[in-house]
Amino acid sequence: MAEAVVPEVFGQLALGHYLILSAFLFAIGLAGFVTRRNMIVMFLCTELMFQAAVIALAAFGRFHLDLSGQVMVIFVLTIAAAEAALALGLVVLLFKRQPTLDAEVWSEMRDV
Amino acid sequence: MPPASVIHACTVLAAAALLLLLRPAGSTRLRLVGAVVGIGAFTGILAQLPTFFDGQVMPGGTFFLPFALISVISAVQMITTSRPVYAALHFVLVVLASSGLLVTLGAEFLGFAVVIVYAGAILITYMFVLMLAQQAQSPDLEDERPTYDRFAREPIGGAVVGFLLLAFMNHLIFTGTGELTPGDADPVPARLAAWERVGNMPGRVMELVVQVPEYEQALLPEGETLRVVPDPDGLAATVTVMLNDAPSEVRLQGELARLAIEDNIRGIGVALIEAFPVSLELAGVVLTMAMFGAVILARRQIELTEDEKREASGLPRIGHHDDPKGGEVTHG
Repeated sequence: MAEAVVPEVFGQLALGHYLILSAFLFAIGLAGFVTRRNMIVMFLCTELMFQAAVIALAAFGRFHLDLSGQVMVIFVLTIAAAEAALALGLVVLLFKRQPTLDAEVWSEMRDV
Repeated sequence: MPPASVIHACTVLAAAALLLLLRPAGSTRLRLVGAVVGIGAFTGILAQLPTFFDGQVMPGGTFFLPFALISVISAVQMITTSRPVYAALHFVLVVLASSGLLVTLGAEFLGFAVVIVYAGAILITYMFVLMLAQQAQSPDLEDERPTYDRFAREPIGGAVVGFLLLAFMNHLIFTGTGELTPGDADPVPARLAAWERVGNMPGRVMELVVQVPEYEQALLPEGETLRVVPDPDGLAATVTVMLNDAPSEVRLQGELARLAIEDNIRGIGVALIEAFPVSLELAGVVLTMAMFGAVILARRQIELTEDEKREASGLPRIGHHDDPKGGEVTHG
């Protein structure tokens, strides 16, 4: 009965459905990284891009019926955890120097 | 209208929707229009897929669309809200929805691991730092929040960069995935390979053997080598074990056979150790170095004079001319 509610195009899924979802999440994460000025939210956006990679890897693994995709996801989780620890350490360090989370404060570090 | 132009039109629509949603937004009505257009563009692109190819059918079915919509809507909310704490909570929603997708993809272990690691560990760390930095200021009025949370930096540039990338990825997905060869859908070779792998894990086989009613007292044969002979179709196997000091054959079939060869966690573990042992070690090294790095970054710098350092290590102080207690003056 539940199948009758869903339109026919979504009844049968292909690999592309998962890849499109992953691409959307990655694009949103990238757009967020560029547009947000709060340093913590910027790093959250990188986590969103990691999440998109996780979905793509798991979908590829299922498509090829190979567990290597899922093993890769474990490595992605490792890197995400390491990145979060270092990124938040950096944010704390920067916050000690200037008590704001605004990334624009540090734009004087750029060239020109 | 060719499907390719529909896809690119939908991508442009999605970019426009994100622009409408990014702050500073106009009225609530504009945001609503943006949300509707964005969801329409996303489902429009998904609806184009079956016209391009029909490869291997993936699992998920009814569950895909709700989970996909939840994760995309929460992701957009996450980058458009002006409250960082809400952004983190929306990211938790993204993680929960995608873990649901992982479970439908047959990756149960990862579904739970992602929730534990992301929603449990990483997000809590983010929340800690957020609260440390925000100092409990969460004004209810939009105008009182910091400007860097209220106004997006170059929303047009961000949307263009993000969705240009999306257009390229869409193009690749729609032209490329049709040529991929799916995994061998014939399950028999995979089952036979799984039996061979299970045969190398005597303890696991014995766990299943003792679940057969008459074989609760079964023991491993001498030398702890176990003979596992699968049926030609791989649906069952015969195991030779010791029962009452005599070799005896036991059949693993039905649910027991499925448990023996289709265990997601054990499968991932074996794949991790068999295929990627060096990467596993490297992951451990990366985690350790990240821990050291975080500790070094976040520690407090304490300026110590030479005398204080010598005192801390139990050495006599270096005397100065104005030091009243400076008895032994050592230079150098």
